[in-house]
Amino acid sequence: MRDEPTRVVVVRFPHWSACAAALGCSARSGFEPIVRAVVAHVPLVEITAPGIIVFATRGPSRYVGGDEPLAALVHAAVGDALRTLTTDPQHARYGIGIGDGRLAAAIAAHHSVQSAAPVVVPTDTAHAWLAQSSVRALVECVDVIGAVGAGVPGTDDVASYRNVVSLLERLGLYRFGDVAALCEADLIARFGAFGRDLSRLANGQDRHPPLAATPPPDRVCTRQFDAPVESRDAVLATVDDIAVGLVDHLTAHGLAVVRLHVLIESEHGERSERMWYRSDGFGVRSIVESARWQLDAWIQHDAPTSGVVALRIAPEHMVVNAGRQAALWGGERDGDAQAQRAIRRVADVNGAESITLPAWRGGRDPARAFELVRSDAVDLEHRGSGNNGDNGVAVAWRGALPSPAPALVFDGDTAPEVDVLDANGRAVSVDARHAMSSDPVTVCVHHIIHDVVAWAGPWPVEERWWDARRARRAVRMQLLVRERTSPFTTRAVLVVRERRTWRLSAWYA
Amino acid sequence: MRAPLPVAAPFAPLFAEGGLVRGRTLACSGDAALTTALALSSTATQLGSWLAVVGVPHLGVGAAVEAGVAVERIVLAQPPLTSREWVATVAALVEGFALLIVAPPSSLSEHDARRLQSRIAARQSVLIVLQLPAPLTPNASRIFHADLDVHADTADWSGIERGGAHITQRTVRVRVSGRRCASPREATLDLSCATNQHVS
Repeated sequence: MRDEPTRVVVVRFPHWSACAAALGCSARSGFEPIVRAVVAHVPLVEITAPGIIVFATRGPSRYVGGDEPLAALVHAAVGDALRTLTTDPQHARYGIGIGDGRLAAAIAAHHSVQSAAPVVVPTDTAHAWLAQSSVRALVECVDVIGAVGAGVPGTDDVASYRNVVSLLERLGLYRFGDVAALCEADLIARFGAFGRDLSRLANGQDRHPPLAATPPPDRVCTRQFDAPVESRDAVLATVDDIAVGLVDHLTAHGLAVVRLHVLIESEHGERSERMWYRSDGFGVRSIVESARWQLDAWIQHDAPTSGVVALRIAPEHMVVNAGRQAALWGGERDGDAQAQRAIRRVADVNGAESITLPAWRGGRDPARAFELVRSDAVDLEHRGSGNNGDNGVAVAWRGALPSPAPALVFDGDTAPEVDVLDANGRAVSVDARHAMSSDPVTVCVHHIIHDVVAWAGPWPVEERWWDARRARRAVRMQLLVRERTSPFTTRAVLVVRERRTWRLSAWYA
Repeated sequence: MRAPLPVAAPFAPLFAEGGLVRGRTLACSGDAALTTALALSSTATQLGSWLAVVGVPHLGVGAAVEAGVAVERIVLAQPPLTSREWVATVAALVEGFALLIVAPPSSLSEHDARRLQSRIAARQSVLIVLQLPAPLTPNASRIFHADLDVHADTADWSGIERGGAHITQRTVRVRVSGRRCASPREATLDLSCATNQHVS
């Protein structure tokens, strides 16, 4: 195998999870139409995470007549797909870059986000172009190239890259050219295993060196079903089965798979194939998760007309498995594995929807700022260590409820109705100019009467005004109330008036 | 004997051991019970312990984040409400979680509660039993034989007026008493500051 970078296209949405939240869909399902728009032109794409698509230029470029036409084509296709999702494409900015190797293409895509036009790095100047790029790009491109030290998954990607970049800059190495000028052995001596990756990246090579050893035999797993399988769970159970065998087999040979090809075929010959990439190697759970995503998208968008008859899972790119080591500080701990086991056991007994993990998605409504994700849709192996880039990015959201945040929140129609009454016992209403008919005096929650001590608001809440179907117009009011029967405790609640009804939206418990 | 689970600095003087002793059960009551329970768990989760919140389907995750809880280590569980299945689920969670905040269902039997507590003691986890305000969920928190009672009441809401501004600060009076506590300890804390100090 030649040790030269593959020329790839990177399509990248810098803050996809926030975009998806603004569009009102989950990160995965919202990304699917965009994947499909690209797949219409390029048959096989590789998906690293929601928001990132990578594919090799070789075939497609030749077909459309060069890299520039290809970039323009994909840019237009993604733009069209976005317009069907939202009328205001400013919500989701994206970039398309073509370069030699993932890093160069990712940097090109990053530039492209700013210029709103695709960036193509020609092959003959590729080396020089990368050499003058700032090493800070490592931090920006972490989602495409993967974490520091492929052998130690679970370290906090962005923070560790920041540390590396800050160290490089203190060493006077500001550009990739400066790093490339150093001898690989020196970098390994200074940075450990990551030094090798760094040297390869700076030289414009792909991060994982081609495998020198002969790959073990029988690594393509195919499963033919006797009769078409209609149940999605049954297919996934088989994937799980295959994944266990595959991961065991590869581990026994000291290998890990970073790129995986999954093919699902129905009885009538319909197929779904996709490439998946994971810089630190696939585990059993992540293989099943990828297959689940692919299967769900296939069922939802293509609606195959018959059951599944064949499954094929083929590792396309393997690396030497550097092993997983429990970190001394930071990174994966023993407790993470125990917690994951406990979550899985409970999910097996009570169903995966009974145990959920929060994921930030943003929004003005305190009940919707975090989405509760079913435990089987979460990559538990990389949880806990604050990886994934999506966790914990709770940035301040304009128009959100000011701090302190309420500890109990009620969403939409499940929120209990309350009566907000004025001094004469009439319901308080709010007019189109957000003015109250009169001051609130009593509040009735669950038939318990509370006296209003103080109130703040009403504040208008307008959400998704750009989308007529999902637009929301409401007012909310913070109230300090005192129960008639126990006048010594003052409680704070948040009430929302929407469609002429007051509801309890949050409780400061 | 493993070291107690650490708590944020302003809470430390409330506990004779300086933190939450493993294997014990705490009962958390008062109108600020949930916020206080989250604040007590925050430091341990930042240091790598996992927190399971059981039977609080409407938890405001934003409040947990504000209290300093590491959001990637919170898990929310809604077990079935029959006594036996509820305890089986929580007992399975105890295997992997160092901290559990639970709002028990009213069906919970005393026998099952005892069983769960001995499981907690054996696994050296910390169980925080919530008593949520009456109109929300009538629950059976008193069925547990708590080692410590933490009572947290809001002393003052500041910032809010009749028709103006909004709540900017919440001061909470926390009182720790119970059979494992020689003399009750009390402190008045500003919850937002209590955790901010820790984060910085």
